[in-house]
Amino acid sequence: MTTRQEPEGDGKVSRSYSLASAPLRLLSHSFHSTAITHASSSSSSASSSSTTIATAAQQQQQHCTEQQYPTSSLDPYHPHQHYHQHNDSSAFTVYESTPPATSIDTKDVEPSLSLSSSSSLSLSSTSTSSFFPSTEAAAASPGALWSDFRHQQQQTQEDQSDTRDSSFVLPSLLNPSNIIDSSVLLLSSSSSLWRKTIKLEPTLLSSTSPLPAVSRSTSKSTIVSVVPATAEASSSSLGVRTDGRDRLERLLMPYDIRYSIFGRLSLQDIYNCQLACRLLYGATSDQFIWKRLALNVIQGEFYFDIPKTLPPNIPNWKFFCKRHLLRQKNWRRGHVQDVISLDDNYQKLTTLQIMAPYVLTGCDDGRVHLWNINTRTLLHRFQIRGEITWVEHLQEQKIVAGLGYDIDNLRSEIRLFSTETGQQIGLYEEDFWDLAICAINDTYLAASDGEGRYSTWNWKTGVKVSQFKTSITEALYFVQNTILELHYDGLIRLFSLHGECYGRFTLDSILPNHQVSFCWLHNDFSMVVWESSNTMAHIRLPLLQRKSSSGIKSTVNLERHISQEEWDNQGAEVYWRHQLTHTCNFAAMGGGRFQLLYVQIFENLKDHVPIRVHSLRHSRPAAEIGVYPAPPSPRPIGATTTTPASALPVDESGEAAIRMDDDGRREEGYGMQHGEYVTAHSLNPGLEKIIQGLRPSRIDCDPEYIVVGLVQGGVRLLQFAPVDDDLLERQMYR
Amino acid sequence: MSAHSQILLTSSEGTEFIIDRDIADKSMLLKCMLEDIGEIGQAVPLPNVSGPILTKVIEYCTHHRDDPNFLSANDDVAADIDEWDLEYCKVDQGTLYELILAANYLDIKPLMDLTCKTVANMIKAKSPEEIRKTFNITNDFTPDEEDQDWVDEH
Repeated sequence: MTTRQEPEGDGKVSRSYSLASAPLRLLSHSFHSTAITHASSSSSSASSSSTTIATAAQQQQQHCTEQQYPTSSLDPYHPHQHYHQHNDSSAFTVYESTPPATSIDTKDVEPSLSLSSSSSLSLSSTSTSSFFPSTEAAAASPGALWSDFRHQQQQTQEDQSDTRDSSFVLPSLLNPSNIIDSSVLLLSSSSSLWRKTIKLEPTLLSSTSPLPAVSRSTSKSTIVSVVPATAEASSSSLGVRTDGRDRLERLLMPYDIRYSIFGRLSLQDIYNCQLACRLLYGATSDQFIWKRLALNVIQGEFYFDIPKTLPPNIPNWKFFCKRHLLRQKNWRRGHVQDVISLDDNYQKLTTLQIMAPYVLTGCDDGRVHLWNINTRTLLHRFQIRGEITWVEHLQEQKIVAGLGYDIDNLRSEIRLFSTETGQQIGLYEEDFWDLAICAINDTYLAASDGEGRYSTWNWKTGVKVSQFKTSITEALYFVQNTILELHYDGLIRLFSLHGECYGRFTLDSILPNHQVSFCWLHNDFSMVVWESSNTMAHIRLPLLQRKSSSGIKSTVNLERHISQEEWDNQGAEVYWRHQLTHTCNFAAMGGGRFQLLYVQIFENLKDHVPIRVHSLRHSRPAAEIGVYPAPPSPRPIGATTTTPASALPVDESGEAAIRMDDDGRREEGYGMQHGEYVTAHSLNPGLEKIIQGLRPSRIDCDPEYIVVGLVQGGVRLLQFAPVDDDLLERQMYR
Repeated sequence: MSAHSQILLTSSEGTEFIIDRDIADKSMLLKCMLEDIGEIGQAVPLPNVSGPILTKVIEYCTHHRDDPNFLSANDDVAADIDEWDLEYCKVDQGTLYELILAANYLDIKPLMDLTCKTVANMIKAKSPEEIRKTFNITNDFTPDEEDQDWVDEH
């Protein structure tokens, strides 16, 4: 049979057509030969009527094209369909005479395209045509069939000014819950009307020309040029491109089929499909696809399932996915998208913490600020006497706690505030004035001075629980209800609330010099310890949190004595160890789950020491990693994580365990990725410069933001996610 | 195997097929239909499935008639498609699409998974241009509508 090649350059066929010819045009691009079989509605009557229409339409098409489509080739599967030459009028009459039958059936089909009452035929034509966005696709698919239905509906209900939702039900699979999905597919070149009502996917503009059929007289000629060889359906020869497209369109109509095909493709594949053509773009725009992809993108990165800092309106999951991919890309490359300033006449900032969506700061005049990043507003301002040396915000309990250290009057006090009422709810003081270190959990508050004197309170009741003495404490944390303390000598000690020592363990093997001067407990219970020889190590204590084989964190019962053997067996896992180049007497550190920033800064600003900002990134599994100590020189983070991350350090005592799963797979899901951290290396130099330029005194970070507290006062948020207004705006036009 | 009742199916063009009841039960649609209407000797019309496709579908069901885990067909991506199934799917695109639609209509999940997986494999790891070539579609985006490249090449 003749293969009709529509002229390639004729991509945009003329749009002009008269109203009168609209029905004809519908028929002319009637449908695929095999459309009959699959334009099924639930009732057989509908299908039979569709068959009738199909036949009529085919006849019409046949006539219009003046082509002799060999009946056999048209559809070997339907040998009983014959193509007759009818003159236009008769075929047209046939078409028109069937409306009653079809409209009855189609009522349940409910082709409720929301063409408003103003839908004159022209509009309907436009819309119908838009079902076949590709101009070459003059050959109809079953879409034509129900577009025929819809047209019927329109003709019969033209005066109805119902504004139905722009969801329409395909005759084949009536699945109202997925209407939007299927509608997206078919609105692949939605008319402007539809674009209003479907907010999700503005999809493709109706810039594609509608079907060419113009007036009857001209339709022949134009159709001739456009109608492809519909009979290609069964042939394997991939002759005409339009045919492939129509088949595909028909295939991708039912939601279940799209789900099965696209449900498991990777982001890259889906993205490639989106780029391929409008049909695939529409077909892969279902929300379920993008939701799955989006959750994969951010998997494990945040401490919550969904990041809590979100732009105010997320149109859909694809937007979400795009936003986070761009954010990750920007993070890796150090492209700061936005710098947000949180200012409230700050003096020098002494503490800083970010836990999405809040930023908590304390400065040296005793003010504590709680900011909400999403709204960029100051939620609360609390006042404590003295210089703030510690703040903590408990989101569930809605508490802000702060420790103020007043040197002049030799007083320290801890105040607790409620973030609901903004009022102070607790004040704790002690005889020994130099309370310097604090920890709080959901019930208890512990404070210690530098000498090791402890007091613990139950802050919910205000009752003091205990007071005891240990020795010099550098850092203090609560793990469940056990106090974890880091001693100056490089000892980690676990205490009960009453001072009962559960065990003491040494970090000698990790830190050579025993003069731990800084310790920071990451939110995921790994610790960064820093000692005076300028060795920094990031370790994890399996005692604190056990990971089961399924990757689910199970909390460990720590309220018991832990023997030395147990400690030795469990040991400490060292993620990395790092030698700093400069001695420094202070450091600021902060991190999200997979990012860790530390800034070596000098109190004495006259020293021009470059500030180091380091970041942990994911690495490949340990198998690919060499083992030599990382040089401390700054190295830009590779754009991908495939840079064989040098230096997961070998632990001399053999304690370091960069372990993989039993079967060597990376662990998925929350929690530290075993053996996944690379040694600290520099951020992108550009980003480092930005941060240096800000002169940070404190720093913290989050997967989305870096919060920098400035020496001269002030807080800056560096945002890596694309600025939402731009992204939203661009989204609208897609 | 003996004395299984037989079912008469009629394809869209009227061809008749006689299959065993247990093969017909692979299709959830037929299974429910037959449960409802009982063992009437009448043919079940399948207006949406053509003869050749129905033949193919019956071939699949027949081959898997004794398959124990047929109904619990997993969509484990890692599971390999077995040899016979691979050969079964080596048909032209049009037939493959028809098979998918027929499997969808007849509600034969494993066949649908198999055929959809085949199509998904046709998409995998291909550039947009290759995808177009495979499926015979043209790029109908206007240049200004092309999406920016926001997906890194990993």
